Amino acid sequence: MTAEANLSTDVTTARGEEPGDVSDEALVARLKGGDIDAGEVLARRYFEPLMRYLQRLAGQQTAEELHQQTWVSVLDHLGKFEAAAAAGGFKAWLFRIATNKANDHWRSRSRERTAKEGLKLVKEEPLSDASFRLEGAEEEQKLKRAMERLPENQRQILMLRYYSDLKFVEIAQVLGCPLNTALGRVHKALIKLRQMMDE
Amino acid sequence: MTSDETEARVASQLQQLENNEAILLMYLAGELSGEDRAEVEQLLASDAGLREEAARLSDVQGKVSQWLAHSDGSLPLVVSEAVAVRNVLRAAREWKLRGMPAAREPVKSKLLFPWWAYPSSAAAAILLCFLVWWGAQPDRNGPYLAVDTPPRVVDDRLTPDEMADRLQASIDLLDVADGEPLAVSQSGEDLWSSFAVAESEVTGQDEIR
Repeated sequence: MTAEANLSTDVTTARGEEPGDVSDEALVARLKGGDIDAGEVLARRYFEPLMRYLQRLAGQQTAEELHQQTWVSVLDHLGKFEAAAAAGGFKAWLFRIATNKANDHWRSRSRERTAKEGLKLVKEEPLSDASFRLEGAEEEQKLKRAMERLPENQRQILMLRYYSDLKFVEIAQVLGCPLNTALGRVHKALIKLRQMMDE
Repeated sequence: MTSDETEARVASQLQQLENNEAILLMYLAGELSGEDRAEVEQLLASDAGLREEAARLSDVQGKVSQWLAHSDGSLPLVVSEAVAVRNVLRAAREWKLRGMPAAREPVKSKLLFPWWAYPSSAAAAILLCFLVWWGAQPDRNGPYLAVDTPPRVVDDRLTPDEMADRLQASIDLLDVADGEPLAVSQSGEDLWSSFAVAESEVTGQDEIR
């Protein structure tokens, strides 16, 4: 049994529930009451999808920092979170905060990059990173390059869809745009990917 | 909500989607209601172009998912779960030590006035009530001898004759002191003025009333 499972069991056995049975909202309510163990269960539950989402959006070097910033922001604003009012519940709220952090990072990085371009000091994302290098089929390499060429908002919505597994309606709310806009971005992203893959 | 209203609401969900691409994406994601889904399936059955578009979208979505899954398999996470969760826990403990200010925020926001205004208002209200009550009380500590109040030495329970006897005894004592007796009427009421004179001589006051 993993440490997460142990801790989760500590939190839940008193109520006779399995860790997976405890809803996010129940854990959030306990965390609001100062139960740090409930926060740990939430952090473990969303660690992998959130970290991978941030890695895809912001790159490996800053994903850890953004992950931490996301959770600090979650804690700071926990009093304002109302499960009943939030479409998509805690998960949507968590990914919205993470998306905002990634956007902030992306904007600051854009400014930094613009400044560096003037000095011919631009640095690309660490594509040479061995851990990030794809050794798969040529199609996958093409798809990876195509993904990187997508506009930020289209790439973001694809990643959000894949890693958060939220519904399109919830994704639209996370991104603060109409459903048709969100679906339009997804459609454009898929069409561009297909065109780039066919080149 | 009636069944007609429900149907109208469900139908409008499909109508809200601007174009076929949006409808297909919602359909492929399984996010349409049963009725809308059946309607889209009817459209697909009758429209080969739409069917082809749906197949293309489904194919691209599948490839993207496949690529991401494969890429995730070869791309390790930048930090282990244990480290990341430990960092979150550290932040959570600091947050708890700060008194979870964010959690208490809604309570704060419900106060229309500063916190000290409430006990101050309560104290002021209590004081006001006391003053009103006190002002409404009969004048217990007013002038000791009111106009219609008998002199202090007079006991209301005494009959006029008893009062006369007592006053006469007092006057006798005064007479002894002065050396000449006073003529006192036999009526108790007639003795008031004599009593007043006698007491004023004892106390040195000109007017006792």
